[in-house]
Amino acid sequence: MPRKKIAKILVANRGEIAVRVMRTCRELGIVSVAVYSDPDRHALHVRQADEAWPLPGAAPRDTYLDQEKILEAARKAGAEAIHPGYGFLSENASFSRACRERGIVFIGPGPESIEMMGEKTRARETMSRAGVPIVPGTPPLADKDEARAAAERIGYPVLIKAAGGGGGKGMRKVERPAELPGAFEACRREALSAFGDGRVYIEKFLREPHHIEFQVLADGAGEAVHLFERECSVQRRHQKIIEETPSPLMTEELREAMGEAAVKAARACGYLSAGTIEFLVDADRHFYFLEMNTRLQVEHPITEMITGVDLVAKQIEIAGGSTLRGFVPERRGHALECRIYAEDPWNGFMPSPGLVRRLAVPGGPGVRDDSGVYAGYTIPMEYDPLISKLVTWGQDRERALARMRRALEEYQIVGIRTNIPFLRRILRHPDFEAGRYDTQFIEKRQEDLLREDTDGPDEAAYAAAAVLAWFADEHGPALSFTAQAPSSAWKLSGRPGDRE
Amino acid sequence: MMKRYLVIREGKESFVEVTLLREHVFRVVMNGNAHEIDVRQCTADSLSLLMDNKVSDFSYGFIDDRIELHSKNGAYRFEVLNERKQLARRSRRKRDETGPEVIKAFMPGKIVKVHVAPGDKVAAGAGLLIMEAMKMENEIKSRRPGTVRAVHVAAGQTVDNGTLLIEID
Repeated sequence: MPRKKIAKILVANRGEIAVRVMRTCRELGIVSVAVYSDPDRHALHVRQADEAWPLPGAAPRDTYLDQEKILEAARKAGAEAIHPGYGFLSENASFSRACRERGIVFIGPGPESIEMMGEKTRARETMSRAGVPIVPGTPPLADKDEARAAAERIGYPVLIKAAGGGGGKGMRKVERPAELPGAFEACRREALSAFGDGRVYIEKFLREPHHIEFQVLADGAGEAVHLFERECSVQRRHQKIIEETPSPLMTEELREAMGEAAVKAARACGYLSAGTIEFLVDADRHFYFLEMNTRLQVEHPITEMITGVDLVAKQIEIAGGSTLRGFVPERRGHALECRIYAEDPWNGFMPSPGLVRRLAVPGGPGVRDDSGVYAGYTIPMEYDPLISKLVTWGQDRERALARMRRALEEYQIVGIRTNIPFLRRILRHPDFEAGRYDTQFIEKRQEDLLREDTDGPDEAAYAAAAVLAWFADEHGPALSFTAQAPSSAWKLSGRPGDRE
Repeated sequence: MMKRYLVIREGKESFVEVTLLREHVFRVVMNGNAHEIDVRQCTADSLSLLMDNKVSDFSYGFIDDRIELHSKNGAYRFEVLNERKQLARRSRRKRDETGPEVIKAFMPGKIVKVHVAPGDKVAAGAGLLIMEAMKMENEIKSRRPGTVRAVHVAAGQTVDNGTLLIEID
């Protein structure tokens, strides 16, 4: 492949991942171009970019999913390449093809690999042929009746999944025949709105499996390597919440076997760039290919932490024609990621968009926060509720975990509800602490984890609340000390009988 | 002068007495124990508190009549009532014992589907409607059994936080 100098990259995404990609661009001396929907003019990714072009509209389909608008922005900006991040157009073969046709480098795999792997049912066939074990399932289903028949054949419980996209969007577990029609329709609607593709299929639901994935890199010139595993079993309704590497379940033999299968999978679809092979692993350490995500993964930072490799930089190098010859990934220590969502665990995990009034972000040794928000920013209702990914590294699991607990104690977000208190409780749970968990971890313990007041009463918080109310009483509405410069109002009011 | 506040968290009520002693320093009495606390505002929305020389660092905000505080121990949302509000609450409570259940949107979103119509009998926990927000579908359920008195929204409609959705008698 000819080497191509990439000097300007358009990032066709928003939120934390757009910010993260732009950071690497800046390190590499590459000019970054943001695109933004109407509600996103104030978003962090726009503020962090070198250039920004509007995508008129608000809904994803009119903006971050609108290929024409994005390609036009790239043309006007003179960007040689487009990085799609994850979600949106990242696994869209027609977009990868359109980039190629217009002479723009798509930083990711070619349309052929995306088609082969992005369509979950075709991917399963390909893997099966390549000798990688797969979970029993169906091709895309025409309607509810066909789904019912397939589910009967495979045996309940089953999973209904979107054929055209990943990330657990639309996915539903169905325990009984009566739940099937509703789940089928809901999955179809969510798949349509998330991926513009309403096709769904059914897969056997394995009880209590681990979800373990392997990061791969391939250069399109025959070189493919894996960068070890990520354990992603802490999930709620199939959305990952906490990831770690190495997996507590992993053994050297299993890593070797799964790593080999992952590289085989990447080769089988002629892969280029960074990708992830997801496996389900049962308690006896049998593994099954689940799907391949043909993009950068949300949880990629934990791999970066243990390998020291900047995966976005690697993607850019590969897109520019570099090979992976001589590249041998090594790993050191342990890393964890917690996904911080704008949602309210005590209100059915409902999304909680709104104004971020205050944001205190953790720092110090071994801590990385990939965030897409800032204090004063209003999180819009139109997009995904992920606001940040908190990542810690330690010499071993115990130290990485202690660091994550410490970092979560430092993380304070006022104004919206977040899942931080829920994350803190998971990290304190003895089973998580011992590394004894599978994909049923949250479902089985949700009630325990949500029990009120396990934080324990904090007398100082009561005192602080009463004193704040005292100030409000003495000096009128809250704005008398929220809107003024630090200390002045307090000095003023804290001096009895003497108001300057 | 001492002031007495009713502090409510997750339905639990406690009284906290506050007296200003000198600049930045208060005497606070709760659960029968007196503490001396030193309070400094550090930014417009954070404060440092020393209670009997133990350090607490809080982020805070006044949100919808509530005081929200975040410390390393967790997130706390308090309703804090001064004496006047305590009185008003007592008389309001008497009036509120009866009345219909009013279901409002607790976040902005879009109505995907409405399951019920006026006159329908619903059980506690019955699904009333499906709302989509931030790419997720959420089912809104009835908290108690009753009869649907009114439905104020239709599928396809976009609603703001606080929009009246359904009333149940």
